[in-house]
Amino acid sequence: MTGENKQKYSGLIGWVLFVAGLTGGLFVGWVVFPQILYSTKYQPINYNHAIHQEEAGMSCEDCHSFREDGTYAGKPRLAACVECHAEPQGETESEARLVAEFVEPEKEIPWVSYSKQPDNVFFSHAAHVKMAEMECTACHRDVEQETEAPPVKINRLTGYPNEIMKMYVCEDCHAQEHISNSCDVCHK
Amino acid sequence: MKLDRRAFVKLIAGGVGGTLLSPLPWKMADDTAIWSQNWFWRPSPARGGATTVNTVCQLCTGACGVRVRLIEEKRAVIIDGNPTHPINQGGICPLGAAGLQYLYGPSRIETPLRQTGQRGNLETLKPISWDEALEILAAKLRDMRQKARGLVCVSGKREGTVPELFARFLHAYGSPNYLTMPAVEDAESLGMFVSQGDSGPLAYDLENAKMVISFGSSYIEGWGAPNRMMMAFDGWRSKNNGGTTRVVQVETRGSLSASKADEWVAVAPGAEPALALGIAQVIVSEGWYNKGFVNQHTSGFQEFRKLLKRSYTPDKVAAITEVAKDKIIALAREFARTKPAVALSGRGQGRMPGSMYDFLAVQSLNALVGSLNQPGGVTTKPKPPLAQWPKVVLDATSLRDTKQPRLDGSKGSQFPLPGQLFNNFVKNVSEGNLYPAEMIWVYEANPVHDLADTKPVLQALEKIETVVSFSPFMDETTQMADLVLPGPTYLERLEDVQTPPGVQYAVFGLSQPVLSPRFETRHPGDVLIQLAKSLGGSVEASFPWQDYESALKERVKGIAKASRGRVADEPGIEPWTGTRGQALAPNFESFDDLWEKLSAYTCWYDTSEAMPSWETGFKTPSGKFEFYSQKMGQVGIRGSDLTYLPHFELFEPAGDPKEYPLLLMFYEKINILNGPRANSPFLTKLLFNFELKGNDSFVEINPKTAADMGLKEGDRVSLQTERGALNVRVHLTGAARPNVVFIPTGLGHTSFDSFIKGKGVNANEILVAQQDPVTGLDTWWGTRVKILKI
Repeated sequence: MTGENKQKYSGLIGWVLFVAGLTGGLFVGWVVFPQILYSTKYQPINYNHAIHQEEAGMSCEDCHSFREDGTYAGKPRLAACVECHAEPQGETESEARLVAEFVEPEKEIPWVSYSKQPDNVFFSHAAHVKMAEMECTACHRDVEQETEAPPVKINRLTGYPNEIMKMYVCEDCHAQEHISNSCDVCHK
Repeated sequence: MKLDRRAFVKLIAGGVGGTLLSPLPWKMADDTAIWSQNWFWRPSPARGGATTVNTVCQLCTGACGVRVRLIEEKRAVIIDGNPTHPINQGGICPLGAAGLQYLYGPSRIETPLRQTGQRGNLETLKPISWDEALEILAAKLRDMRQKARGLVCVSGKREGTVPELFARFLHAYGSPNYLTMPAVEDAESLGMFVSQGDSGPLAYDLENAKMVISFGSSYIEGWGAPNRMMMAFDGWRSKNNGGTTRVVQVETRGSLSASKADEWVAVAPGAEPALALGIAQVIVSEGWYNKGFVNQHTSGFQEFRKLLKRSYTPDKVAAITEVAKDKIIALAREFARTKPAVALSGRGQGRMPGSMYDFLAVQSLNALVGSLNQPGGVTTKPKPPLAQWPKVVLDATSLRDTKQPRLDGSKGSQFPLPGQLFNNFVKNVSEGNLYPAEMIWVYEANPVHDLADTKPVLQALEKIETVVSFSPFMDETTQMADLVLPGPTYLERLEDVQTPPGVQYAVFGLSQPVLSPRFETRHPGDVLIQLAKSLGGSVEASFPWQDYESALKERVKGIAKASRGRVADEPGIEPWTGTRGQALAPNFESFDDLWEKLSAYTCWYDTSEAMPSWETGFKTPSGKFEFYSQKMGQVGIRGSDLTYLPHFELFEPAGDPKEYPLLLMFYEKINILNGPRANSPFLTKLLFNFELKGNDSFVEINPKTAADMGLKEGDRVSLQTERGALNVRVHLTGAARPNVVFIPTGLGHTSFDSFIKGKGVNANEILVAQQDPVTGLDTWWGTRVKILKI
């Protein structure tokens, strides 16, 4: 190989390596990183939204309710389950575990939250759902047809689920609806 | 193929480029920021349903109604004012708002403790069980029963059923030594006793006064019931109130109370009562006094008039007080012409007794203008009509020992008046006078830090075999205890809070647990009942209750039986606007109904009781207000005419003026706590950096005095009195009178938690008290001091 050819060849190798690095970087950034960043958590027992609505004829508010003082009650409590599930209602494994592990020992079900807000944000469901009359699905996924509770992806670094709303989403909507975007509206 | 340096750099550059075109770095940056918000020490509010429980604050004696917000009925998250409570009308002070820091703070004591090594050593103060702790105490009490008089109890709380249970235990056991921490009420009750035959305590109808002269009282900085005073001040300044009330502050230091007054009369150190007498002299000599009252309902007026003419003419008083003669005359005329007008006594927050004669000087001014027992004036504090407990059962030992002289010398041959002389107790015990104190119980008090002149307290404790503390917090006195029986904080226990200081209508407040006790603590009331049961005999018979709650309920039944007053159940109740003495129809039907309403709203109030009348209200030998006290003669006080009359006598402050050229005076701030609790972090945050900077305390000095001494703002100095030295920094301010150094009390803790420990210096360590030879009260007002730059 002549000196000239050698130079050309090494230039080519350089470019190949650059592209390999670039591809590797893109792969890590787009594929590997999200896999590493999120851990997967499963609900303690499977909750079938569809069956409760279709067969039991329940409405969302039966479990996702507001307290008397207007604040949102958060995760459904065991007491709501016990109203119907003091005895097993079917033969699924989840049903059996619900009664054996939670209803009988009177232990709250440790539901994993799909959308836990950070502590430094003040968010009022009442203001959005009751006053602004927003649909739940404006922010949360539609669960009406769900027969399986999907796993929850939790960010290992922040500890929050991936469905958490980012600040720009709040701001965009507030701007659209001509609601103040002052810091202290959300950060009390 | 060889990977040379260039190729490697390209690989890396490609990798970096690829990563930059992916979400990785941006997401990492964002998530790292969120991660940093979630470090484990960051407080995270509890989540869940909120409830609110009403209770009564007990962080001072002000008795404010507060609401505590709880999450899941377990975690308290905020305290604010209860709008239905007439005392604070929904208001709250910084201390009350910081209440949760006492509940959750690190200075809480979690179990009973026993000192297994050297007293004061926290390492050897070891946890023990309640059964063990009570058995140790009961065994000691059984052993020393033949020396029953040697049991001493000091309570920082003066009124309420828990202090009454302590007093009752001592009585049943056979000890005359139930003591309270010194406070202005000591001087007032003696003054009331000798001039009106009734020990008080006092109440002021301030909301209805048109002129208020305060003789050194920090009326909006913690004097009386602090929130009530702020509300009253608001009323004085409100046009809705039918015009404004004039407020004159007579004080040496330009305090907040002085700056908020219409007029600040900067009086010479300690000379406030002399100005009161000067004003009295002008009122008498110009004939402005209330002749109806003075001629019909007072005794000894001629003697008082002679004394005023002889010693307190404007010229003479101007010389003592350094207040211009014309000012004295003008104040006198204004005070006599404005109706109703009232004069306040008790320096600062009233934490120190002061002199009985100081009180008498001010009270005689109230008497001259006929402001005693009148709307807008001063009267006695009405008490709720609580039922009495059954009489204490006494056995031979208690009958014998309760008749022993008290260790504080009160009602003894030297100090025949019926007072509370804790300082004299300290003196007697440290000097080994009378008989030994075997055991001391400390409740709601921290004398090791709080008493002016702290050294003798430590000397006295050394002479006492057993020190028992009931404190929920590791304070300086508790650190010196041999046995600690920790009580729950006010948010975890049931207790009554009766009419707060200075309030003119009857109040019964129910302070109730808003959550279960966080630690292995026990209610002192329950501890006493258990202790009585294990002692047996007459002591047990004197405590016939199952628990504290039943003992309290038994007393509250009296209110239901009296069937008067109302539970304040709506906002905006202003009991001072109605006429006192007209029956107030109750809004409860039975005891159960009353208790239920009290649990919901916490405050019963009543204005049915009329103020004592001029005709029958004075329980003195003459049946009149006595300028010249016959009562003093009756109890055996001997002296010249002056002894029986209001007069001004300033004890020489300790220290040789040549060696100690300046005067050191203390002052109290509303955001520096004195008493059984230390500042919470919230409260300390409110201090300016010329009051506390890092761990440095500041003293206030006049810029001229500082210039004479070559001192600049912030300079470090050593403050030296006869008693000792403290290192502080100086703050130059015109609020300080020249040649006087002002130091705040309440800092310099050596115990509690890391938030307050070591912050500033404890002024009490270098102050020297003077004992009034007639009453035995500590009348300290100033100590001579020198300043050395360091």
